[in-house]
Amino acid sequence: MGRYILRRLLQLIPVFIGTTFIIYALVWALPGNPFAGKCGARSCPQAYIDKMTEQYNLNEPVIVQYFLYLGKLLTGNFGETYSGTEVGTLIQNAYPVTVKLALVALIIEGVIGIAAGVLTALRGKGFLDNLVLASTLVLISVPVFVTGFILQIVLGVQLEWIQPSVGSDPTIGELFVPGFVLGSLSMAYIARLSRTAMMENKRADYIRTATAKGLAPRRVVGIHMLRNSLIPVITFIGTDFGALMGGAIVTEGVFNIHGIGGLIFEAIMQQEGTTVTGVVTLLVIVYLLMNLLVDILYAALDPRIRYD
Amino acid sequence: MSAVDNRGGGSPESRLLEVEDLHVEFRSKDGTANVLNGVSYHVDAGETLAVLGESGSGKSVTAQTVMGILDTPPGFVTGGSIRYRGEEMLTAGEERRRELRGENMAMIFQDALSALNPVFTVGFQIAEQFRFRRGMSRKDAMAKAAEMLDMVKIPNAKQRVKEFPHQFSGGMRQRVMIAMSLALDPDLLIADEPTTALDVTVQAQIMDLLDELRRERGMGLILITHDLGVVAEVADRISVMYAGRVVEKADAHSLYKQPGHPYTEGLMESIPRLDMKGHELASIQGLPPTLTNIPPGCPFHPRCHRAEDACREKVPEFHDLGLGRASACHFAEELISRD
Repeated sequence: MGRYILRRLLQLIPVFIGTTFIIYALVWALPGNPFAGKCGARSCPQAYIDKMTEQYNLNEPVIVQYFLYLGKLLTGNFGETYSGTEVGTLIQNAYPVTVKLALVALIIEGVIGIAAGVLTALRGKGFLDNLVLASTLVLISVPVFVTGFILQIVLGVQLEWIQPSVGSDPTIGELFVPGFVLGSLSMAYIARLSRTAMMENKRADYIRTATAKGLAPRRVVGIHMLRNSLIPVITFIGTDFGALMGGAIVTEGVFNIHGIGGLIFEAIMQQEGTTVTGVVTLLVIVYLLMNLLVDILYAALDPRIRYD
Repeated sequence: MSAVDNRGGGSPESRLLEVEDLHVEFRSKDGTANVLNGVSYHVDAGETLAVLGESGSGKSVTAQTVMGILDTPPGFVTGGSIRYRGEEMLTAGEERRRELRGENMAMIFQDALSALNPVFTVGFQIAEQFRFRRGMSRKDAMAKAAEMLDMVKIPNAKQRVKEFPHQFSGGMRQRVMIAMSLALDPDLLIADEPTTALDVTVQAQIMDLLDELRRERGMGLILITHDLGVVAEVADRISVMYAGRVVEKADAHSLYKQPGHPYTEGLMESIPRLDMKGHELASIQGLPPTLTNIPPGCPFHPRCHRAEDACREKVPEFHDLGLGRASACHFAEELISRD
């Protein structure tokens, strides 16, 4: 297992170099003047353009620019925006909010999704089953921004149960509804996934064995059936957490949350190449690490899977 | 169908298990399948009853109904009686039946790989019973689990107790299954085709082990199989099942010497024999009946070479042939009085 993890970590290096290069090239090699419109209606003074060109090595070929950037990145320096703010600082401010929102979303989708899936599988056909099937279908088919706006208007504006928009340093409570919106799609998938897994395992031979051993039904279901059914669900949740950690442009936009998604969105709109490259690079690394974690988790959950 | 007479063996009161006129049907949208149509058999302590028959004859369903682990729906018991040491099982509450499972009656299944939970160690799965039925500590229960593995002759039991089912070979896995079923020292063991999924050499080892354990513990053993070779060596008595009925019952010796039912005869003729090399392999022609549509009269008549008009019209009664033998064939007496 140790060797496997080491190998996977080493694999991160070429992936890291490849993705950062692609992002860098996409952002900086695009045609167009990055300083157009930077100075209001007038064109920027030549002295400013020269200084900026110097600072970002824009006279060098892209490949040289890239390696100069990579060199700085490896020392932990994400560079600066045009206005001189450290990109590192921007990330430091935005990321905790994103992580908080991701965790809230993850817990909501995990708890509600699994509970709904398990209950419907055990109860069988009936009102609850139909309710869950119908509501998950709605959540899956409606785009997140629609769910977001509806909840914002109904709960925030009309009923005034929540703040329609969230402050710069939100509490967990404030993030509950945004987290629900963000996690709603995955929640629907998790409910269906766990329902299917439970249904399949209900008739499994080893469940019959557990019953034949005279174990209490609580133990047969709660230990033997659940443990097996949750393997695919937990894998899904792990992968989803990787995606959630990448920020949520739409949800953050709707609820005015200053997370990593909003940061990227603004940076792209303002052609802040350094910010885009820096943030996306970070997200790529986070996603890769999350995937590695999921694979390790998978082996821990299912002893039949061995990587060595 | 008349009740099977109980001569041969102990008195009805001393019976370990007595199944009488058991009816089970499977209900689905497409209709009702009559899976068991009056099954009767019994087993006494210390003896081996073999239940023979093709797939779909109801052997396993009977066993699952005895254990109380029949999936309901689709399966419903519609009549009959199952008595364990004289206690009626079909009217006993689920809690009482659960008490008896593992502790008094246990079952092992055909495919140990799918019958064992893949994500728990074999030790965990055996120890579970000591922990939750006997209130043992985790550690003591694990030690007992290792003892059980040792008892079924798994080498290196102390280490192997920590391994997962997929890390065992087929034969060793079936031994694990046996160890698990015997953990709480039941006095009735139902083995549902315990050797079907195994190599021939391993089959013999597992059968020997089962036979040895039965003798040591004085258990009653119900051995469900379609393999006559397996039965010949270990069974005291045999019940042959067809289309959800017992069609013949006899002690192993006399059944082999002279089958009293054309179906049993067919089964025996379809065993490949070395001295018949070069001849075409005999088989029973046709297929077992669809259980949603069992033919009238004797259910075996469409496949029977000696079927006459009577067989098409009248369900044969059980013909008592003496010495505990009986056969549900109109020509039973004729069949066993041949040379």
